[in-house]
Amino acid sequence: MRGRSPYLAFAAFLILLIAIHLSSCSEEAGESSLTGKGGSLARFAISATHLYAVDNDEMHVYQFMDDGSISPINSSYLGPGVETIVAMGDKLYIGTNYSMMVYDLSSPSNPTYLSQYSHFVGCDPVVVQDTLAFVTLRTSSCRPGTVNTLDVVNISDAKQPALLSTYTLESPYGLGVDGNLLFVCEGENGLKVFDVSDPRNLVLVKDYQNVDAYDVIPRSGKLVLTGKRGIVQYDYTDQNNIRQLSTITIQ
Amino acid sequence: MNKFTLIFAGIFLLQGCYDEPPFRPSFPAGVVEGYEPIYADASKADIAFEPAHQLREPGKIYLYGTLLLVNELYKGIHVFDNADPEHPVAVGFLRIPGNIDVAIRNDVLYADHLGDLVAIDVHDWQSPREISRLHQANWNLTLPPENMRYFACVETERGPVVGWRLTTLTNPKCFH
Repeated sequence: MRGRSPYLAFAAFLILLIAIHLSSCSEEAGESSLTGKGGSLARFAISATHLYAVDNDEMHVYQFMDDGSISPINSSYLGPGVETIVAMGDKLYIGTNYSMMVYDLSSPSNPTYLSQYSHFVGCDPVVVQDTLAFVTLRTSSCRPGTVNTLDVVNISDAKQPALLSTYTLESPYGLGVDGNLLFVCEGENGLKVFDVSDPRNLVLVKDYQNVDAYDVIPRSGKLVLTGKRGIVQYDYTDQNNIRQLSTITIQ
Repeated sequence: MNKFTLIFAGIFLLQGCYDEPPFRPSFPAGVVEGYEPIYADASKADIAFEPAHQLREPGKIYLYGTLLLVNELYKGIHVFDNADPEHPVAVGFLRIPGNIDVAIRNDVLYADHLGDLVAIDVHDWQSPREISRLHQANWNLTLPPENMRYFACVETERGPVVGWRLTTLTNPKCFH
């Protein structure tokens, strides 16, 4: 016994370490003429008829009145560490310190819990298009770890998300998707544009190193990008000839 | 046993080697990079529309019809007429102290303002009209914007916190 227990303890410790390392690491409002289009995680999100706000460990549901004021309907307990909420399609994505929770909005005044993805957390920006979720996992000031990635997740079955592909990035922040083009902000490392026609095999179309990219909104062939050097706009209707339109500089 | 002790010790040391920022605090912290709270100027804590400002610290962006809204971190919203994206035109600045988030629907802007969720009628941006205000218990910017950071603890007697500034701190007492 005495001879073998140190080996077992060591093996168990190694497995635990590896498990910890593997497990720890790794927006938009619906577009309509009524509502605006945002690109980021926030503490409240709107649909055509309701506003959802996260407040520490609770979610508050509000109804829009005719004059646009909001009236409380109900509140529910979500759990600790809630940071962000975004409404995409008919779902709410609620980010916490340790997971992303998905709520169904079929009954808009009563969001219903569907599932949790522990794969990514509240500080990881995510955008959803049809059955795919694109999420950037960032290590700096978001979570411990060493690898910054872009993950493509099949969420057609909300209870069983399936990781389709993953790509190493430098310093990812916000992202935006429009059709087959995915725009990923890399902070001072610029902007990357991917063709996502095949979600298992993303193709890098363009890599702009000379911009500072924190967040983006793609809409109808025009991209608005924000970063430390200002607001830059691009035309991406021809993905092989993405051209810069204007810059609003920072003082 | 000595061999294993050495290996265990080695692995524990490696575990500690995370890049900045630290993910576990140690107190006293000494001289470290961290956040300090920015307190409100009581005379300018209300919501008002002002002539266009220069961008300094842009935060989130928002598109609404032909308008481009750009959050100025903790200060308010720059409003641009973006009908021609090659020539965006600054319309003005909606001052909202402490603001980070915004959404807009049917010409009503929803924003966080000093811990409250406000609805502002902006069909005429020059004359914004507040139509509802709901306090949120934990929106008071009591924590800095990044995780894993030391910060100077909030002294509530100094007024509402409208923002955070990254700076050098000496022996900060708080960490998040």
